Amino acid sequence: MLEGILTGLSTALSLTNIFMVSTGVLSGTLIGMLPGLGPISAIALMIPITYGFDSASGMILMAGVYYGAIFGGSTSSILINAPGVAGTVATAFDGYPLAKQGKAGKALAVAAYSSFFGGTIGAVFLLLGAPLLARFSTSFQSADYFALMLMGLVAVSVFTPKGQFLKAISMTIIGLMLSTVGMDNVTGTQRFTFGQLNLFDGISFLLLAMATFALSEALIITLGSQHDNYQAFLTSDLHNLKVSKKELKEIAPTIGRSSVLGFLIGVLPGAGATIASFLAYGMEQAFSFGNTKVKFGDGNLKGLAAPETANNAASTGSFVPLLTLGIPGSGTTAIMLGALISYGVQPGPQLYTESPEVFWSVIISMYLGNVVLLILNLPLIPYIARLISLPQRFLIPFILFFSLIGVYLVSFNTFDIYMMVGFATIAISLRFLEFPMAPMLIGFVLGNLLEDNLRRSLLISNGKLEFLWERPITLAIFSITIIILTFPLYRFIRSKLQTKNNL
Amino acid sequence: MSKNRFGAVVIFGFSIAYGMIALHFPVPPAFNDSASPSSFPISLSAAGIIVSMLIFLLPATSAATTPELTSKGILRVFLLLLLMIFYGFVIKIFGFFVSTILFLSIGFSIMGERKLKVIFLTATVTTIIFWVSLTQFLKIYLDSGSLSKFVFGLLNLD
Repeated sequence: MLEGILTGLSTALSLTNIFMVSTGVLSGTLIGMLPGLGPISAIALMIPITYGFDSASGMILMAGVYYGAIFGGSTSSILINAPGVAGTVATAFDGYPLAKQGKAGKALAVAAYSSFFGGTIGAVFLLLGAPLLARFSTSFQSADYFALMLMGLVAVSVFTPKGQFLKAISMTIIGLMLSTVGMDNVTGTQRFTFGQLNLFDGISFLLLAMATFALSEALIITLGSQHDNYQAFLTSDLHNLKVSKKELKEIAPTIGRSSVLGFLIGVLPGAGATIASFLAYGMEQAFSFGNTKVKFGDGNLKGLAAPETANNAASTGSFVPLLTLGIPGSGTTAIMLGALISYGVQPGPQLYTESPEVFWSVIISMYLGNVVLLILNLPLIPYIARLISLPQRFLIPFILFFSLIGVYLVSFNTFDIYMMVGFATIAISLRFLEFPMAPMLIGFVLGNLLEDNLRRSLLISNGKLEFLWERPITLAIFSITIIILTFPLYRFIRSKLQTKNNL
Repeated sequence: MSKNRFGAVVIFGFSIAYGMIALHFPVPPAFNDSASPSSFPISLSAAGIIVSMLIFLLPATSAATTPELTSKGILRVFLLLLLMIFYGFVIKIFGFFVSTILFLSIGFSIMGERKLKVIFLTATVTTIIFWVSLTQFLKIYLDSGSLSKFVFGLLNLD
């Protein structure tokens, strides 16, 4: 293990790779900060740029983009109350009031410190937890994998906001359906290709991610009215990034609690950063027992530190199932999985046993991203933040151009551009019908793996469904899946009973 | 019809069509039913049908918010979608350089920029920066388009 860590360190700390991670963090922050664009879009937009790089550099750049984009999302939450992703919604609760009071610089600094410590504590847990789980998971068979992936897909849908469960499940199914397009791996049969040569290899992951996130997010911004929350940002003091010792002391216990909570929630498939940040916020409110100088929601520093710490710790935690089992627990880790696969790195238990140096360099580069974020990004933030005021009339065509050219430069096939326009149109319509997009992306990423493992299990058990309960591990995972599934049912019945009581 | 129900009908229809196509996949004789290429898609189609029916039948409790639609917004999105198709169409003919300048200039004007000088300068300068970084730093080959090849071909008649 130590040897692996040292190899990982020496790879990550070369001059080129430090340059890579810095570039990644900066560009991630820039993209993540644009209102409406989240980390998924940021990573998708950066993947084509890294195609020519070797896998280590590509991964390190992506780690930077990942952390940068999350921090960029917090920045737009704090400055203009426009969270790019659900994971930073809770950040705006106390962050935006601080900015309105003219303390935007302080709010950003607290957010950066909290993210850093959340990420650091998360990374330590990852360092300890991932090898354990990786060793355990080498005994998994295809039936267990099938069960695990099913659990992941169900969990992702269950932990969506209230009333979205069935819609999320339906989008997961659509994602799985899209993954079956192309030539079947086992029999060589053409499925859903309609004789189109362009579809024989299936739909490209990057294309789908760009069309349903970057493109459709940019177009949705065009549809709606513009943000008018720039007042706080323009009048606030961005350059004063000082946080006093007293304030640091005040938020230290919050950071400790929230990072443990965040990491544990992040490890669970499906839960991820959003739930972690809300729970941490709720936990801090409960711990304060109502006797705080500044009320929660009026610019309380603990209220800002808690969700920021938790969402970063959870983002790190979500790498545990990704690296050890190869199963992404959220839309963001799904696209990281897509990026890793494009560099020839297939996360899973084999990664730890067969190429430990890659395993460790991923973990160490993730951490490096975190460090660079603090020392490079924070001092630059007053200048980077000016980008938020870039007029939409220039911004939108640029985002569309980046998305299109990013996909086109991989294939040099104009059919891809037409397909992107088609997917983007469908994605906008579905977003309007309030159907979530992230479950679709996760379904798409897991589709082929899920089908392969199902087929293998069926072949082994002679086509019978017995494999579902034959092994204790499979049975246990299935039982957990069923328990998770009852959660929305419970929520539904409880809300029914509540409305009945109110009548 | 509510948003939920409309979405449910769309997914229901999609799942039926998807399942119908999957039913007709040829199955190679060496493979038994469980591992046939159509079994996974058929079960997905069944799942899609069941879930969309549940969405249709169960009462909706939605709290998500989407931006308000304005006719100006819809028109802009429609024009931008057309512009992207146009970009796919011209990039093979005019090549990266000219098509990107066209794409960005038209894009800026669709989004409401009126100053021609600003439009043209921004589009050209960014295209040059991109072209240089793609071809010189990332070493990506960019096609100059069939039109320029044709024109240069005519000039070089020897």
